[in-house]
Amino acid sequence: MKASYREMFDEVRASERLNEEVMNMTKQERTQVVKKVSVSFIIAAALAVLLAGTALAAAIGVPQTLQEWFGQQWAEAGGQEEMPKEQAEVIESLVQPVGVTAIANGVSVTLDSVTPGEGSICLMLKVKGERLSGKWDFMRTKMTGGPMKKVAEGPIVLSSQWKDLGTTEDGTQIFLYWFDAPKGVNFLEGGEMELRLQDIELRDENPVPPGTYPEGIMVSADLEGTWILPFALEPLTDQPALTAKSACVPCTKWEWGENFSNETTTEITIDIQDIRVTSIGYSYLLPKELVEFCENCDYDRKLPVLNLKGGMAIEGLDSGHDSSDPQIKGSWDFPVDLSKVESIQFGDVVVPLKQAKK
Amino acid sequence: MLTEQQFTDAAQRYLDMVYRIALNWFRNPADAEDAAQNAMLRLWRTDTDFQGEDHLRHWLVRVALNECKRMSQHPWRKRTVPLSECPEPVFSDPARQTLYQEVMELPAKYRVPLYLYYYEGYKVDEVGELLGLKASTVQTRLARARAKLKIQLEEV
Repeated sequence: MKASYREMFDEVRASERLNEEVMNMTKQERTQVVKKVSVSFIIAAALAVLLAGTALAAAIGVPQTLQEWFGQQWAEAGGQEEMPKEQAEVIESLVQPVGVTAIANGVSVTLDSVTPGEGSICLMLKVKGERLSGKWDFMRTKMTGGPMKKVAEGPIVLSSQWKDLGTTEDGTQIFLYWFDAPKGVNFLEGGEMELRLQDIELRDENPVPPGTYPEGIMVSADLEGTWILPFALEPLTDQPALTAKSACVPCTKWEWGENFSNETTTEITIDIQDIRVTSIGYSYLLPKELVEFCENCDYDRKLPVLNLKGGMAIEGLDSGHDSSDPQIKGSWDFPVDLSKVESIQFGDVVVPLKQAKK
Repeated sequence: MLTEQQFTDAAQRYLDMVYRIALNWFRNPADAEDAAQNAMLRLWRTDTDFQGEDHLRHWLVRVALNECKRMSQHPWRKRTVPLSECPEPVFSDPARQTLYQEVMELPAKYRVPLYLYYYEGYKVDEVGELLGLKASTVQTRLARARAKLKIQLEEV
């Protein structure tokens, strides 16, 4: 392997401070279970208590509602201290409070609120359980009812992701759970829905010894249980989507020969179609060549940026893409007031969008 | 559980490795020190019965990566180490400084597999297992990292 890379990292060492800190760890008492509340959280929680009732507390503490979370994302995106009324109204109009709780095996799960969109749904979940002291995941999740009835029964691979927003003073863990809508499903249609969560995997910190490599991290003892959270999704009318028929946008193409020799990168442009921007996300269609399997090449797409009046720019999040699906979907960090959107940008290419009509 | 001596020996052998993994993840020495510290604390507290040196090393790599992922997912984590106490690495050779900067300009998804493969000597499938990626994805990322660095790295 290249000597220069290794020689360079040979000189990258932990600092004296870190060395000393680690060596002093033997003076600490050991506990079998790593404490869930870390020092850094205690600092954050103490600050939140001191500033309770103030906007600043809401700005820096663990968000307890979707509105708070979106407000924090707005601030992080460089939004003004005072969120414009129209922007706040968009968020308020899309967030639906739920407040349903299920308890099983000593773990309570509350579905606090949801934000449906044309292409996805975002849920805020609050979970509390004494045994949830380390890294853990729900092993199975299923969303049924409402617009999901259109989807055939059977195993459905849904694109979804969790985001840990933090833990409150009383040990309640707060998560965001994003589901991308399967084809043909529009969560804005509303309906009687159900989120089912099953079994908890307690991530084992003891990895498999070398020589045996099963997929994924070794699973240790689970918490068995089923948490059923029914909720009524009100039908909503979002602001009319903004669209662009097509655009020629930049993309990086990577090609390589056998054994990864002769790697080349080329900056190309690709024609994307049916660009669609909603309050909570975006979608567009890839050209055929990016969908067909290529043994010796791959593509790096640019994530979109939404340009708002006044200079604010919101970066898009990619929802994870099945390489055989021509449709790319993604979301924004918070529901956006589309009346303030000027354009969507991919790299240096700015794509004007048809303005929403009120 | 490790004895004090065993832990101290392990820290002397592997703290730099844990720190480098975290530095490749975060790019930021302060965050890397936080993650490395947390990972070593887990080593001190674990009751794992290690089946040899390789097992311990692999365990530490795993925990370091898990710690990096955990910290990355928490948007409100507070740094416990002041920035002033975490200086950037300084190199004896300006060329190494340049290389370090080039490596740190790579996206984390390329830096971490690159480090595990070329420095720690893991095979492609082992890197994939550590990162939860398919071997083909690891190969792609290594290829892209090399292309971006424009360095001819010899295959082992």
